[in-house]
Amino acid sequence: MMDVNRQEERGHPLAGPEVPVCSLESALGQGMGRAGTGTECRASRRTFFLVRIWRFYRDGFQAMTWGKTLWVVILVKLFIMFAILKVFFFPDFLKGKTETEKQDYVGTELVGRGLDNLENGF
Amino acid sequence: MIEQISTGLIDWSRAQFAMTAMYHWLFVPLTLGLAMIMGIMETIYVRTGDVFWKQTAKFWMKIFGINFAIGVATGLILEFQFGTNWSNYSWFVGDIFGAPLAIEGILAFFMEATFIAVMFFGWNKVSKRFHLASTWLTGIGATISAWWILVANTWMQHPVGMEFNPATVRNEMVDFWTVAFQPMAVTKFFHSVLSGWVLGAAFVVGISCWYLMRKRHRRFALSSIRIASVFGLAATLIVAFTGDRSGYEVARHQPMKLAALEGLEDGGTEQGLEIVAGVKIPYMLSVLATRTTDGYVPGINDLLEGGYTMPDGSTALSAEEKMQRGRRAVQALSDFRQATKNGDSVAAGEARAALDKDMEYFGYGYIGKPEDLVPHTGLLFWAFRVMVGFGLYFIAFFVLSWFLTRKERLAEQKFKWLHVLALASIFFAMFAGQAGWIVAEVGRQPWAIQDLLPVNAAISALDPASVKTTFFIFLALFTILLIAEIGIMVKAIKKGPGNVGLEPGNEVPQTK
Repeated sequence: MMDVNRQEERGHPLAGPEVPVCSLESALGQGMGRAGTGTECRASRRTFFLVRIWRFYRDGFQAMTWGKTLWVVILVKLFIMFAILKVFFFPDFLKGKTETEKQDYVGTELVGRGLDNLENGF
Repeated sequence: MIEQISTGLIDWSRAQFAMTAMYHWLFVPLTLGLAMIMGIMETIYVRTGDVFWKQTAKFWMKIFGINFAIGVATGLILEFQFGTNWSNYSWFVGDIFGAPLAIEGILAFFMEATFIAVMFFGWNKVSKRFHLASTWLTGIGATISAWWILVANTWMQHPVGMEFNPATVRNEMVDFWTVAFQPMAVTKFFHSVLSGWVLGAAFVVGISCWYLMRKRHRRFALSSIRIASVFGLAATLIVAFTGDRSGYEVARHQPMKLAALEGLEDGGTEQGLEIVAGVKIPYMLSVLATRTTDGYVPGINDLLEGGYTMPDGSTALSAEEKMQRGRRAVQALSDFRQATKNGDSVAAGEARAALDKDMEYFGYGYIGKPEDLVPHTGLLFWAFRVMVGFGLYFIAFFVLSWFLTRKERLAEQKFKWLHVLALASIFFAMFAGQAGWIVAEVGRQPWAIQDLLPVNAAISALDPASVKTTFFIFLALFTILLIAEIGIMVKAIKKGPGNVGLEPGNEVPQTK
């Protein structure tokens, strides 16, 4: 078997050690493939690359130990932030207004507060 | 009808924002600091091939990962608050604030998110060099992310590179490079990011000292301390240098902040810097603010009364005069909107000219009385001294920790006091960072955007009770997150880096 690092240094860093170039079937785990034409090769290389990325992430997540706890923390936190806080407690104050309505609203607020200050003090 | 804005609403909204930012700043600087230290350790591994350094880097990466996971996205809550609590501000700043944040989100965050996966999943799957590059790019991504956030923050302290459009009531960016690279932004970036490096270094030294105290992982601990001490010392010295630059920038653009943090009621030439009440370094404040020993530094009363000669030779306006001009600017905006509504282009043009004339004082139109322009001097005075005091402490601390690791003396039990001090120093670095933000943010009150928009104009017309409720929700949420972080981190630290000594007699078996 080739040395993993040496082979990867020659090709793309995410490329694995045992799958010959231009072999989509191999990349998908269906055995060794045939030799392809130039166009087929390019297409299969792209697909092959995406498969390798997919496997990279899949294997990484599967091999996680303490990382799984952290992902639970992250997902719970994101759920609380976006599904609860953002929806129920932090709606966009100017939401539902068109751009013109927003500039009218803020303009009226800024002028009004300034003139109030002028007349009454703040 | 414009609703009256209560001071309670402003105070709770400010408290909520401050609390969120302060919690966020517990996680971020540690991420920035640890990213660099683990990058250095992995670089040593790649250069020497010594697997000890790989294991050492992996342990600190694990701690980095825990901190990153708990801290990630806490900053988004600040953006929620912009939209809800500070809607006038959000609209008024226009694309000036949005552009850096968008760049931060698209470029830096995705860069960070991509390479962090390679960093954690890529051991033995990608080449050593590609892995090393990914580790560095993760840290660089986090650092670039911080750059854009700090650019946005600096713009609020010193708004430049924009033009106010009264038709849209928004500021429009006219010079991106001025916004992104104004000297104040560059200084703030290095000062803030490197203070994170100091925390990262203090953390590594502190945790390593804990191992020494427990007689565990001796080689790992001493090697980590050696790297972190040199790194931390370099970072602290640069923080001190940029702190001096920052003081000069503040003196030029936010003189009230400088006067308040020094508690300087009445200014003058040849001003000394007060260390604590009654103890002064002669001429130091003048040097800090003007780069000359006899430079004039205005005090709070001078800034309110005006009349002194400014560095450019002009005479300073009093607060009352600025407020008058601010009110004229607000009136001109009102006239412009009315004229535009009526289709009177001549009147609109005249109003626009009047607005442009007084626009730099626009925010003063919302100030009720001159005293409102003075930030909380007591809080600022002590926050400044905590920040600078711990900064000086860390120079001595890192020199000492580095010196004692040269012949491995730090592992001796007679230095147990230093092990305890090193653990406490993690919190000192956090205090210093928090104090720095208090100086920066409390110091610019009452302004949301310096001279252009005070907080009483920036805030949304909300019910104060709803802000109070969300304040406590955040307090609970962030406290739970902090407890989770500390719990997971303590567990990981107790477990230790594994058998990374790799030399006989030097590694104590791990306790269960």
